[in-house]
Amino acid sequence: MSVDAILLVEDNPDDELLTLRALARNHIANQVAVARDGAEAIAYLEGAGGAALPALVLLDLKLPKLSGLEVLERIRAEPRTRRLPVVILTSSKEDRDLVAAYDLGVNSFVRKPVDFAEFVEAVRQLGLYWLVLNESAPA
Amino acid sequence: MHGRDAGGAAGAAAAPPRRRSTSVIAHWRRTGGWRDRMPGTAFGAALAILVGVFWLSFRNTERLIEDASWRQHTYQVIAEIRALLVGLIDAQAGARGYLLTGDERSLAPYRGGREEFALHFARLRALTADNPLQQRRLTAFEPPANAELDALERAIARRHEPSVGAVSPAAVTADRRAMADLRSRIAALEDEEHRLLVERDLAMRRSVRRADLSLWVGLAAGVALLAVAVLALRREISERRQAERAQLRLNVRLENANAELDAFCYSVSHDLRAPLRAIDGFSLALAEDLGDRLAAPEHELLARVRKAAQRMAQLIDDLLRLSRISRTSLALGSVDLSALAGEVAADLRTLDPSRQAAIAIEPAMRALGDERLLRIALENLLGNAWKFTRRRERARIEFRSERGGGGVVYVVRDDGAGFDMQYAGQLFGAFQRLHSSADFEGTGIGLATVARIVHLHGGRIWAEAAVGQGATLRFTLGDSDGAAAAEAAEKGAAG
Repeated sequence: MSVDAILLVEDNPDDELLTLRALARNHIANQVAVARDGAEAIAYLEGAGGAALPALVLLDLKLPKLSGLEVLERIRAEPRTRRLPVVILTSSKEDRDLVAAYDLGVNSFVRKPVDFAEFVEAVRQLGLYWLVLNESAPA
Repeated sequence: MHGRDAGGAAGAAAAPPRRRSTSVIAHWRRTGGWRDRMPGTAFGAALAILVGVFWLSFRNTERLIEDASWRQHTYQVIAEIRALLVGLIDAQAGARGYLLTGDERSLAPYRGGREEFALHFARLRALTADNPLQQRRLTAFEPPANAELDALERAIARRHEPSVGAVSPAAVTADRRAMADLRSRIAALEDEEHRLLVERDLAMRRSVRRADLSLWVGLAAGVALLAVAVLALRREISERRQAERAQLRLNVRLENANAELDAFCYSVSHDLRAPLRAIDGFSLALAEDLGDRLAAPEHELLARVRKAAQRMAQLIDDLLRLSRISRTSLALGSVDLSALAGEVAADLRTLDPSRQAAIAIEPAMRALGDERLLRIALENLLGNAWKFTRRRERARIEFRSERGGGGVVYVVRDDGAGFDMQYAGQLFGAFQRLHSSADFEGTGIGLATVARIVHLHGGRIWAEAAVGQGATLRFTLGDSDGAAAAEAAEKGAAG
């Protein structure tokens, strides 16, 4: 049985590596597709290269080309992707970002802790919740 | 408000720090206060000038009326003098006619003339009561006039006797000289009045000119005052417009600066944390991957790298919070400080349930303030007390209020590590720490944040302490009537 992928939208290679490591350490077996800017993320979700919809989108806010909030807005505007679980995983927790993200219909908003051990724990909980516990809408 | 002088910023913990908000007002009063008294002074001067001009006009008009009535009076006197002469002539002519003709009808003008004479003489006496010269003349005139009239009366009485016939014209004209004398006396009386009339005419003309002049002066003063007022008003308006424009420019600059600061903070919170995460994450990755291949001291080095990164992240967070608080506008309301402190204390206990610490909070302390900010302040103050009493087996922390300095003073006291009062001045500056990180962790921004919050509320904060004997932090919130205002707000909400 094939497991749906996780789409990681992250432009910083360090953060990408750390997130991949955190996923691996938590034995999350899902394949991880990485989009390095907003446009790439949209292209992936539109099915470029025959990609199926991911099980979960981990979305950074500060991205080249299209910002994380713009990506989120498009995901929610597109009927095919509107029910996709999207978790914002970002550095800052500005009130206006929180408000805007929830207004646009984000499922969860997590601030990446600096302490990597804490981050690993956060990723563990996210994986457990969004990939195991939570029942997503049928595609 | 009591004007304290401008001065010390957040520092000076030994003495209560001076108040910034009142010092701004004091400064404004020093520099701009005279301008406020100016309009009052100018108004007073203008009023004095207008009242003066009015009084002058009024007095001149009064004098004009008086002069006119004197002139009228003189005319009346002259009329009386003429009527007196007419009376005398009538009496004489009537008497003469009777003496010549014996016709009783001629006696009517005689009697009428006499009556007229007596009437007008009495009036003249009264009218010229103010003029001694005329009075003397009248006094001198009276005996010969009466003598003449008596002579006429006697002649008429003689003519009544049947034995006496027509009187010769010579006899009738015998008193011509006396009559001429009387006429000249009357002429003298009239001349005097004419002289007075000329004099009074002149006086009245002078009064008219004076009244005219005072009207012109009044007009000129009014126009001048109006011109001054218009000029002053225009200057005031242009100054105000200028000030408004300057204020607008300043606001725009402030908005720009705030927007820039906002963007800066956003970028700081986002971009500075990313490399820190990498430093921490890869250090841990390295430690995990190398595992046994690294000796304990080398693991310790990596742990230090991670600790430094985490500490910097904390610093960034605290700084951002401090900067955000400075840009916050207060959302004032009645805040239950006791309940707030209770929640903060409960949080502290949850974090470290093994601690034996008594936290005594005075019930029902209420203040007017911003609840969110006051919570942050209490978190820092009680958090500090909690932190610095860690080494005590049984710590005691108090939060209470006391009356002092004309208002409510809030007190947070602990019996922890305390500090040397010598360094109290540094207590409220950002990044100032009085303990080594090895003893007590912290970024040194907590009390700076508290001070900002207290100052935003218009209050003061100061501290007392001794090494090993705990610390006492005291703060006020706003003016002395802050608590009263809070109570009033409370009552208003209830009623």
